[in-house]
Amino acid sequence: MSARAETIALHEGPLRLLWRTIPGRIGLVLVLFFVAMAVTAPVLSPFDPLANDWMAVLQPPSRAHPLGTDELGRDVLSRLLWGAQSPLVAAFGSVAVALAVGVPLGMLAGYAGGAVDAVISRLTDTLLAIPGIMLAIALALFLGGSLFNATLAISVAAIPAFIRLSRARTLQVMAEPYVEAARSVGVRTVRLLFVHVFPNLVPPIIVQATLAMAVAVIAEASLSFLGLGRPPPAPSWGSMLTVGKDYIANAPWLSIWPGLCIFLVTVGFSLLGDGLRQSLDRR
Amino acid sequence: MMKRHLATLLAMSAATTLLAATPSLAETLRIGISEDTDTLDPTQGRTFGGRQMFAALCDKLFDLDPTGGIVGQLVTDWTVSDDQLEITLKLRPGVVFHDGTPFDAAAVKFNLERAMTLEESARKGELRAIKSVEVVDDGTARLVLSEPFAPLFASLADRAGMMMSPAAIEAVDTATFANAPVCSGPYKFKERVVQDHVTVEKFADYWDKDRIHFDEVVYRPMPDSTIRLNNLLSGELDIIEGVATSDLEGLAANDGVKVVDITGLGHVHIQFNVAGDHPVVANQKIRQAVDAAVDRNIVNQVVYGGNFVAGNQPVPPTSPFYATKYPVKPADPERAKALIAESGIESPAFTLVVNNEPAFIRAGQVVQSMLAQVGINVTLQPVEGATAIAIMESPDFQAALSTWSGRADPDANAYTYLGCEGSQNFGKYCSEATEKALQDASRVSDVAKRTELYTLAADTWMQDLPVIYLYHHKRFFGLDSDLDGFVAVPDGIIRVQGVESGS
Repeated sequence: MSARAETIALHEGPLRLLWRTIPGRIGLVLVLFFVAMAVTAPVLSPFDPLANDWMAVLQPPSRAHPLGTDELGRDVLSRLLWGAQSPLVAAFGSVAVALAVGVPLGMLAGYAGGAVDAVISRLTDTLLAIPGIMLAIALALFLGGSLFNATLAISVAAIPAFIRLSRARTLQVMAEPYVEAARSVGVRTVRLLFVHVFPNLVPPIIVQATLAMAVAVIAEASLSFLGLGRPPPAPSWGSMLTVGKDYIANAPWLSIWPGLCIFLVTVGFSLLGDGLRQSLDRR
Repeated sequence: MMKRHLATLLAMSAATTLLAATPSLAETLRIGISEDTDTLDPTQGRTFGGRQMFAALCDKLFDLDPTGGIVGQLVTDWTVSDDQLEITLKLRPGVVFHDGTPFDAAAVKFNLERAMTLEESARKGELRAIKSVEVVDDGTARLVLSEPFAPLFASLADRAGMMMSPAAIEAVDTATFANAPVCSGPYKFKERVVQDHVTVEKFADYWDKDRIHFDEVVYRPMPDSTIRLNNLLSGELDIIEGVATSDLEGLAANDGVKVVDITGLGHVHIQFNVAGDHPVVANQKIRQAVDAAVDRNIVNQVVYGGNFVAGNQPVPPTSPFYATKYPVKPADPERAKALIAESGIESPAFTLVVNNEPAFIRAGQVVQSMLAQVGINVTLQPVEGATAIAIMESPDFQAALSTWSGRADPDANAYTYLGCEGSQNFGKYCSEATEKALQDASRVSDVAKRTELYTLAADTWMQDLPVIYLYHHKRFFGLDSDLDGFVAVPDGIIRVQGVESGS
């Protein structure tokens, strides 16, 4: 399907687009559910996620604690709700940064060509040569453990894909007859890029962005699991798993819930991406 | 013709069967330890991981027996002069270093002088009482002390007493030797991959070789207790140290693994940078507030299932050297809040470095939570062992939740942290009164008198609180049930002599 056709499809409105397909519907519901969880955690959480109850350590699910308590007597449900913030901030934040850096660089490479393209492409190749999660781990280790640094590390790992995508699309769009026509008429570069090229990048970039968010959730959970995310005692699903694995035999509820949430959020973003791709392809 | 072939065939079969019946010659003992070593030079070493590896690599003048008492290892007999200023050591004959050079009194002199004078040496405090070392003859050395020093034997039963080959030390520079030591123990150094493993191979000319049953020993540092345990359960490791108390129940039912435990000599504490540039931790009232706010029994119960012993001094409450004048007090949050008000600091906050191991991180969070309730904001910084030491040596150091494996003599537990020249005194605490009392206590042999002096020292340092002692650990070792001959010693070091495969 041509770039132009995709852009027309987008004018239908993003929500409509997602709702069209089954994967899109499921994905949207899942993502919105967890975003709501993260946003309403301060209100809905029954306990302070940091509050210890020394007398109620490692309790199984009960009336007072629907999902049980952890190794330091903290309510698992509260930590689960608050824990949604880390992976979602990392997902949206890292993709935002990757978009802000990757798309302009990719467009520049595609448009300018020559030496500029060569430099940008080789930089991208270098970053791509390192497996994403390893790059994120190395950066997070170097920068120190915090949500900000983890998000930054993940965004660096995500940038190359956006550069590649933007560059390829830019080259494709530049070859279209209407762009050539605009150029020959004398439309200035900036206007050309913003008005004619960029809108055609949006569809594939949105799809890539949702997939990058899915990857980012896993990446943030992995970094937290390794102790490279938000430092203790801050709740995050990944660090809940770090503790949970030590108690899998006698307190499996510590691992099941955070693991399930990570799984569902990742699936949500992936399905969202699938749904978008399907509806953009349909026309 | 057939008969001849048949005979050869039968002979070969018999030989093969015999060979198969003898135990495999390439037996390796795989030991999982809680941290990697910082260096392989005993003179410079500051990690417990290093001490574990030295147990196979380097013999020492003295050793500890399972009760914590001093016995000779490279020394067969010793006498102390009446004025306690001279110790004459009779050295074990027939001992050679890994490079073949002989162990003699000259080597003892060389090693002790190196430990006392080498710039990078971390052993100076432990040997501070030695004035000179004399060579009486090849098999006899004499230590001349500047003052009586009771803890010296305990120090010589650890890294300060480890004997390395003078020839090998002089052949290379300090840094090179620290990567490939040449010692006198049952195993010699083979290879090291940092943070992965250290392999040592059997030394053929070891003096006690009849008690050495493995051809190689591999030390694998694994900071996570669950991973260590899983490796033991899956057969990847044969011995592990530091079985987490939360795993003990599950292991009791497991036939393939056995657990050996012994009360340790050490402690877990919070150390503050009292002499540095950080006004919060440098404030005495804040430190006193921390001490009042932390409930040691809850820490013990929540983090260790009550398996450890709550404490507040360098030695456990059961030790004869414990100052009964200062028993472990329950937490007093009101008093903590009052102390904070007196301190003059509005919203006290500091960074607490913790070892990146599950139990430490849990303990750190418990402490953090208790301090938050009285208004002290603690940020946890989990790092691995050698990094923690690096931070504590830098000006950034504020506070650290850390452990000391402990020594047989109380002086080593006390002076190391509270003495002006203490090797683990990263906060640079130096009080004249404490220093004098600790030094005096080391010059006396009588237990009651020493305890009086340790109590006198406590009069000062328990007000200053450069170190807040929290609890003393029990050591839990996990072994493959087939292993025989393992004996737990209170210092927590795994000794390879006598360990063999039972089946």
